[in-house]
Amino acid sequence: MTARQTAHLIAQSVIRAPRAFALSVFGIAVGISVLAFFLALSQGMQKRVLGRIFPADRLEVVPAKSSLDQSALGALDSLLGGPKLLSDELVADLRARPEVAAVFPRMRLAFPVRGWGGESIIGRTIYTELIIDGIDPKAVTEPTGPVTFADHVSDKNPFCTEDKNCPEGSFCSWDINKCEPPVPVIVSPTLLELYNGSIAKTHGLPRISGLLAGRMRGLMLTAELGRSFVSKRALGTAKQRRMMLVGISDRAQPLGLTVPLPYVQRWNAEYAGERSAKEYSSVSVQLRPGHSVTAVVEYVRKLGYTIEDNGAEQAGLAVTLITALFVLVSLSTLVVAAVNVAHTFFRAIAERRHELGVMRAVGATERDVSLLLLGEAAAVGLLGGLSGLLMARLAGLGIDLLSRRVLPEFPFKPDSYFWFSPELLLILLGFSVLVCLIGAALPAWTAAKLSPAQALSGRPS
Amino acid sequence: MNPSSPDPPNPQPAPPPDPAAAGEPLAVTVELRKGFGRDQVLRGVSLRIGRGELVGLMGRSGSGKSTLLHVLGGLDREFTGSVRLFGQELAQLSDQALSQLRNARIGFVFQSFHLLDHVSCVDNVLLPNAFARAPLGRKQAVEQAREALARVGLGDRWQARPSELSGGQKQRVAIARALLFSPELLLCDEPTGNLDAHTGQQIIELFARLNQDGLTMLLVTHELRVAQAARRILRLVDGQLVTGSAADALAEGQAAADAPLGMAS
Repeated sequence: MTARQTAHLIAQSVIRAPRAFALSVFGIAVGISVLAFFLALSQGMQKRVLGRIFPADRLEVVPAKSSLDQSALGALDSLLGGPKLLSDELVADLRARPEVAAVFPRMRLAFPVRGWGGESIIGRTIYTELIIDGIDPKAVTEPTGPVTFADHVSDKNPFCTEDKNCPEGSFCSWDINKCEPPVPVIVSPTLLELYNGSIAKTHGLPRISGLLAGRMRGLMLTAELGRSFVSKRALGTAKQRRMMLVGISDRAQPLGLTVPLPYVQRWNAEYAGERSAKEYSSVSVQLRPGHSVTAVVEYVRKLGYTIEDNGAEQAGLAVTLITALFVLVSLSTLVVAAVNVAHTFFRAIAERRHELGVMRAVGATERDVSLLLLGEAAAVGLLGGLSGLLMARLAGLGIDLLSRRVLPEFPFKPDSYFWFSPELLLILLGFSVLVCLIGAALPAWTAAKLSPAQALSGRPS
Repeated sequence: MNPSSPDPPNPQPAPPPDPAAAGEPLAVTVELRKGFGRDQVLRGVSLRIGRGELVGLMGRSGSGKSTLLHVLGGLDREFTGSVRLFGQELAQLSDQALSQLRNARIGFVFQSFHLLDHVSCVDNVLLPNAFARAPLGRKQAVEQAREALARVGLGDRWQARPSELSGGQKQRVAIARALLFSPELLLCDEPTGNLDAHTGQQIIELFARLNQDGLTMLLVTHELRVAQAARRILRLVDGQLVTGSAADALAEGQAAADAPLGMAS
């Protein structure tokens, strides 16, 4: 029997009993839609929410926490040298690993800094302690401007005594009498989300949307090194530096400002000593796509360091467990649907016994009969799968719309909670067909093995 | 082959002729036995059907007539003894080969027509084309199906659904379906059983014409008027063939007159 003939006979069968066909399709559609809904929700949560908070292809290597740190023996631990420090050696080691695409060391400022600014965006000056760290400028791939995210300090910078001596866009650092472009600063999307979701709401400040985030580039603030609003203790000579927000990047620390690493190294050396200018606070490791995280984690632990516990593992596990639960529920729906398909086909075979007998009498082989029934099952699966996917997509759109209209803003609130990837759609469509084929397998086999004489005479098989 | 269409447009390859079968009868059974559970329905049936014959097979209900027809047509493979059709031993054929034989060389007509109610007459007649080794294209197949319908006097009802037809017309559609590929053997199981006398007579006349055109036929019936159309009559009594005419079958009490014969030819 050719594919065309098979398709023709399948179409005739569908037309013959549209209600039974529609019922089977509906059962499968419900199962697939529930499964697709939860899988897309899980993928969406992983990709659109967790992925933004905890990028899966990155590791943050930090010094191992000694158990002694938590106890009265902490002092002894310090005497013995404390935890292993993050150095350039480790950076070189990690860069040599085949799984590693790039390594970017980070360094925190080891002394207090205070700052003020924000008038152009918020409408009034905000005074605050500044939490600053530095990162290798190469780590930032997002567009920055008007000043690039790089070290702009150079001996060749022109001499000055005040700002008006400097070219436009530069400011006079009066302590060294040099014109310097502002220190470029990046902030993380997390900070913006937290601001929008909590601070803006509670303090009646404007939310920073996409448009405003664009306008924020170029925002100036002043940082005063070695001074604090919280503590009266002064460290070294106070220096003021103009800073400029040049972009938003997930390479920035979540709660604070990030500047190019050389600034932090110089400032740490000046205010906190040479040693603090050589110790990295963490090393950010970018993994190559498709490579195992586990191997790198093991290597890091073997070297005496650890991976920062940022909650990603627990959050991922929670999402996976919840997804697994819903998938189990969906699968049980599909099992019921498959049983329904089996039942429908067994009933159809009983009803069509003479028809199948005639087909056998006029030349249908056992294989033809099987193919015909399995083809009908595949049609149920295909149509049920497509309908189910459409239902899931519509439900997803509805929930996204409801979320946008009804739910209040909260950090990391996504535009859509769902991710219907082409792979997911194809796999579920295939799965839908497979479920129907499994459901129809036994009825098809039974029908194929029925002798034509039995089928025609109605004799029990 | 049906001489009314000397050059049939059926392009499917005919099964290869068996040289050993040259001159051999079209169907031969030797010591054919068949049972259902403990009930032996056929008890050593041996018969021959030559090419071009119209053979009537009579017997009471439950005598094994339909079972013999099913075995002869390759619809039932669970039997003992030998059944040779077109020179081929049926027991040795694969499901595919046997199905091909039924598709291309045998036609079946049943008492209850067994038409597909959800499709038109022409699609019913076309059913064998779906399972042909080299199916005809839709246009050519429809043409051929309409020819077959015209041959049985239903040329103008090709688009009708079976539910729109009378019993006699339904049986004609079933006959047209059996004739689609111009078979060599037509096996009919009580073909007039569900028809009134007048319509039944028309069907008998149709069979007679088809036989005159060279088609070999086996008519299973328990009606004398049907059997009278046959050139030779076989009678089955309790699973065994007995000699005698159709008139004998009526005149004599079945149970009293019957005696096992072994081979009837």
